[in-house]
Amino acid sequence: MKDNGIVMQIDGISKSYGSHEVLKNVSLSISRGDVIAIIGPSGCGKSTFIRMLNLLEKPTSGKIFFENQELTSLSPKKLMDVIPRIGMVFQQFNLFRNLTVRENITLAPVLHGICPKQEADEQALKMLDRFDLAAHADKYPSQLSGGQMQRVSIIRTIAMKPSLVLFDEPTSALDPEMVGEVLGMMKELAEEGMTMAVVTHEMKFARQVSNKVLFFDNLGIQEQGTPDEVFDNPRDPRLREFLSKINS
Amino acid sequence: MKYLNPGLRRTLLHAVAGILLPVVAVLALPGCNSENEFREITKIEDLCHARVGVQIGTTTELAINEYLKKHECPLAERFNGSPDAVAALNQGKLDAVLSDELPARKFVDENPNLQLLDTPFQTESYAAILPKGQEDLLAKFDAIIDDLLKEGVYDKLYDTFVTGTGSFHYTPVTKEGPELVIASSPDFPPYEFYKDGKITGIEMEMAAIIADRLHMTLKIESMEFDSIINAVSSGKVHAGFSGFSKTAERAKVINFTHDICTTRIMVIVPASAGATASRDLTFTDRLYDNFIKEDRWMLLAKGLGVTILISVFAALIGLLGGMVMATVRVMHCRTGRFVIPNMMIRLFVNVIRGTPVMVQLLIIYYVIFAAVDIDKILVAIVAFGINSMAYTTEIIRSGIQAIPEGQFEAGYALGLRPFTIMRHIVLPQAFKNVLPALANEGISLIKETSICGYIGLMDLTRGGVVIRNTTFEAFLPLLAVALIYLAIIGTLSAGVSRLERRLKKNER
Repeated sequence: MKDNGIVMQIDGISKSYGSHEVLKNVSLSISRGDVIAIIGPSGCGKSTFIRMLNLLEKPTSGKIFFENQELTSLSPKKLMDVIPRIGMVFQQFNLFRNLTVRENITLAPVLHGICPKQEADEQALKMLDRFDLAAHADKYPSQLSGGQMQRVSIIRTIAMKPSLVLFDEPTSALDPEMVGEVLGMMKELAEEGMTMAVVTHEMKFARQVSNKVLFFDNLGIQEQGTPDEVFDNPRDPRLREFLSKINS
Repeated sequence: MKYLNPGLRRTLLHAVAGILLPVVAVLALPGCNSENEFREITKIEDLCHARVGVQIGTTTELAINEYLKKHECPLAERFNGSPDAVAALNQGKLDAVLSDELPARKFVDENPNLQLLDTPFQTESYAAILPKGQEDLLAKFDAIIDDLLKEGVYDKLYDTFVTGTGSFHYTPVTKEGPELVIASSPDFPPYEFYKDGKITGIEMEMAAIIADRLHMTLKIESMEFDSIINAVSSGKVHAGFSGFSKTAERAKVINFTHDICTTRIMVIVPASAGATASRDLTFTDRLYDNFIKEDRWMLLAKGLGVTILISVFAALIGLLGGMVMATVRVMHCRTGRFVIPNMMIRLFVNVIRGTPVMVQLLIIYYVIFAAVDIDKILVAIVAFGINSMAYTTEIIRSGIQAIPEGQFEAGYALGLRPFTIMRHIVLPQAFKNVLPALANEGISLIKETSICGYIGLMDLTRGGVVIRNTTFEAFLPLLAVALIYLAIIGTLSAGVSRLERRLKKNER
């Protein structure tokens, strides 16, 4: 694959659990710098979709191309060399509870040999400082608020210098007053050109930050377009119904 | 109580007394001989329908039970050692104890409350035992034993150890060279017993001379009497010297040397009522007897060292092995890999948890390591380590399964390999969760090592038992042993609580 600006190419992936179909034949290409917002009613398969992009869920069929490699055909060993370049931020943060904030951030880069311990420490502190978290570097996750935890988990993810970051409902588990700080940070990263795919219920964020919105329903992408197209000019009746429910 | 009416008050008092009195009575019973049915024994025939005690696995046991069976009487009670039986006799739990003549005389000398029947129950002779297939060594033993009897060495030893009119002690000439390892159960004075923390006695002196004349150095392994034949037949030791009488049953598995000496089986009974002047020892005397005299406390101190050594290393093996096996089990559940190792671990855990640790210890010593000359402490460490491993595996596995899925997922998303996730993220958290259960396992482990005496190790418990067999007092040595265990385990518990609090602080 030539460098034509495409980071990930998803070719007709499907997922079913036994006879229960969740997604059917979904395709998408993600270009460098894209900020893709994925919206839809609960149970529509959007979380399953994003979890398939780093093979946390194995697609039943279909192919995923990332950096010149087809992920579903890689051996487990080779796959683990690719996975860290696809970052993932979870709804429940999933910070390692036995490690301090700083250790959470430096563990993977040091184990992968990306940088020596001391350098990783310095970079972690720099990132923490940038997002006003430096005071918490040596605290354990349980001593932080939800918003702080999610921001640390984002730093942990980008410390691996991924070329794509997947966000799986990053603000859904947060108290309302903490949503802003996390979205603000994501916006900052988006503006710096980070390629992101975000499953979210925050329509304001989708509208302001993303350049492409996917509406998932009925086993796949029901409608897609720019935020303006999707929010101001929805064609699909289900999307219209969904938006009216959210806005009411 | 003052506000209750008199009738109710009386009822309450009766109720309280009704509960307390039986308890007090039961507590008082053991010290109170008159509560027991006592049958006076004046002749051999009286043994029928009496409560008779005997050491397990001895020819005396065979002989008395054959006699009792023939007369359709209840069989004798079997004890691990003659001193146990004598202690029971002293407490009025038995009417008579049968034992070989010399030990019987020793017991009676030590206990003024006891006497011997004039007529012996039976006459028999002792020999040393050697493994089958060692006929050359046997011939050498026989030649030396014949010489010794001719030279009158046995008589000199008899004078020294029985009548106290001689003072013959053999000093070996051979200072180095191959070891002649013999097994003995040193609770059988005057043939083999502990004195000044060392094993001595008639048979031990004979063994020393035999070793010397073979140009070998003598090494005595102290073990339970009923383990010795096993130890000899499996070749763990060269020979057994422990008052073995010749029986056809024994001759099937081991060879007997020529007779070392002839003895009679005597009946020990309580002294007639008039002579029942019990030794009125003060508590200080008893403390001195049990712990200070002949440095007997050293038996406990050395035993404690062995107990701790075995426990610590077995716990380490258990913990490390348990971590590895729990990891494999969990990885199998999560990835479907390691099918065969997983099956083997499940089998291992079921077998170990399904069999008594004592049986495992004996199997490991007498079967698995039968042909190998290996330090017994090492055997015990391996046996208890393996046992602990099975329990630790299940404890840690349950701890891992309690870790939220998100911890694994986050590790995966950062490109960490499954074993790396286990080591850096999951196991440390699981360890913290299961620390109380692990501490429990450690406590069980320490207490379980008390069966080490069965492979002849001098651990803490066995140290107490040896003191008891020397002083014929059960209370103080066993109490001391119990208190020491309590102290170690108390220390361990306190340490674990502190560790738990410190780990909690990290998480809060």
